[in-house]
Amino acid sequence: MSASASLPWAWRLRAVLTMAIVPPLLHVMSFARIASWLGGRPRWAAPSVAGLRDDVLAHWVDALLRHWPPPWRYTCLKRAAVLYHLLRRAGRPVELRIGVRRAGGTGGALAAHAWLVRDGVPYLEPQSGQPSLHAVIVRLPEGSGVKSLADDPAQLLLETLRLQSERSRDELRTAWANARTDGLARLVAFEGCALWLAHRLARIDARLLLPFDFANWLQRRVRKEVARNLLVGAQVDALAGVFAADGIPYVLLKGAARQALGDALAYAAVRSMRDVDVLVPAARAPEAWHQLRRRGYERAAPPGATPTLHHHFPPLWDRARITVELHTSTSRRLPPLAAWRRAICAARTVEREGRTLPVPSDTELLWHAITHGLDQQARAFRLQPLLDVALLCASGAEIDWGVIVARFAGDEIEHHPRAIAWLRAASWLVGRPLPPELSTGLPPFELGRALRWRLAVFRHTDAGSRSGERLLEEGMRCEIGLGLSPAVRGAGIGQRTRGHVAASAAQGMYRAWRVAERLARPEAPLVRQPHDTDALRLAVAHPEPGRTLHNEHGPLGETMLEHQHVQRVDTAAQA
Amino acid sequence: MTDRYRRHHDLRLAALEDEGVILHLGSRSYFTVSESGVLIFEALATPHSVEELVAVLQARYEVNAEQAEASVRDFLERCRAADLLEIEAGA
Repeated sequence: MSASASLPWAWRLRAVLTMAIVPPLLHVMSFARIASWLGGRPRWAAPSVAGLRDDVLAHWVDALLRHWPPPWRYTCLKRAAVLYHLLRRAGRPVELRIGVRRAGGTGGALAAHAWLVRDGVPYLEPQSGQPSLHAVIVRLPEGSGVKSLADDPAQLLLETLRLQSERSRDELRTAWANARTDGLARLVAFEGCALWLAHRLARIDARLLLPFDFANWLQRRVRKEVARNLLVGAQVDALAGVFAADGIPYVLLKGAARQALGDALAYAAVRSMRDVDVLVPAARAPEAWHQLRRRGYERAAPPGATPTLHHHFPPLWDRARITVELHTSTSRRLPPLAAWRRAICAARTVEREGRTLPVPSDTELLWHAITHGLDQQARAFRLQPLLDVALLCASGAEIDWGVIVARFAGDEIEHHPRAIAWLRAASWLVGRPLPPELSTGLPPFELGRALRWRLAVFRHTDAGSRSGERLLEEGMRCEIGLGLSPAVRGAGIGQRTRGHVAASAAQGMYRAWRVAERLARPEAPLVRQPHDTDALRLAVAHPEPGRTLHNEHGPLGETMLEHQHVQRVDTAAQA
Repeated sequence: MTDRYRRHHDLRLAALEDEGVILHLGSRSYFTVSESGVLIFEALATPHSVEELVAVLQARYEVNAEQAEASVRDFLERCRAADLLEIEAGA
């Protein structure tokens, strides 16, 4: 049975009439004039939609247009315009898009394409994936897609970072091609997710679709963070040599441990690192610290800058300017002896550069990521600490969730409702459910709203401005119920009053923004059912045999070594 | 007389999606290399002559010997200028 056989006769007639009228009109009238009629109010009742299948209608229209002579001969615009008119008459919420792109990459001729969209994704496209490459210049009905991902770059960022987003690859690509990216670079830097974003954009093949300025910024940022990670790795190796020579036991923590695990832990390389954290037995910690001092390591911060109750010694660094922190515990609420026992229980070793590097078990890595993240209070609700937890869960690590659940019920976690909301946000990012004990009753922290607020702040304040920092901090404190920021120790009455007023004003602005946000945006459930396991793994360059040397950047000889000028690895921010 | 090249002992290399980042630990400077540059740099973990590097390239890419040699020599010169290479003079 042919496809046309199942198309109701009334719709065949309507389709023939539409095809007879619309294509010639597109030749003699401006599209703007036709557009109002295509999707306008019908002057007569549409045929019954009973038995009407959109795909059959599209197939039927395609077949006729391909056989009719000019000016009816098939083009994507004629097809899209005809189907848009017919499907809108049938009550389908379809939209029409016209986009352009450079054929053959930068410098190529402009190529246009017209297509239909339904529920934010290309609809009834004969060639899947094609619209994703185009920048949209026309949307029908006018105003459609206002709440699309392209218009909500904070949500677009989140959906791209998520491992199991409901958004299709094509939808994400289309959104990135049309995204408004002002302020986004500052947001990505603030969230500490540049490496992960670049990795995810590569997975959906969207890097060449990004607006140029943002793509350029992201590329430079990734290179810089990768270079810094290499520097941190070298510091780990140097430290391992010192401790091995002096017979000091230690276990790597946090990013240093994950990086040491390398290929054994998926996603280990997509986290930027700033310093090296190691755990040493409390009884050996003073000796270890002084040994490093004798070997040329200097204080990375003035005496007194580290709180006396903190669970690590004053940070040190050598000429590489990568900070080393010797921890005696992994949490302020965990005695050093208990922390050391946990770290060495089920610890494993990794061989690298001729060194043996001890790292904790996957469960301890995850627990430390949780407690360290939550210790940061409002800063915990940035993406980086959440991704630390999320990516460990997604990495295939062997997590003993019974241990995590039992500790969560203990006194190591300060504010359980907030901690659960935080953990559920991490779970949402990775698209994996938590154990029932950790996922019932409490809603996840709404990352989308948090990121929209931060993006709004970045768009309306100067980089590094005190007012911007205060809006970010107080907005988050308000959202998670932390109250106003405490006054600086030793501040006078005048300074305290000014700080209190400024913090109150900032939280007031956040509340007003949140009301406006709720009016403009219906609340959407944040946690959905997870899908099948995402098998993504970090891919390093594995060029295929036979690939030509020439690419879009030019011949090999001109591109093998780029950026010959020396760029210092930035160390100022971690001082 | 054939010079042999190897990468500087104080370097770290990270391969990304379609390029690589080279960090010079001594100067704390970093450089980016293209995908084919990563291939050459990985080979330079051990001493190689220009001819051997040309063979490495031709084993991976469709390129004639003349073009590959020109590219390799240009790449080595850039690396040498950036202090990323150690050169063993041929006998």
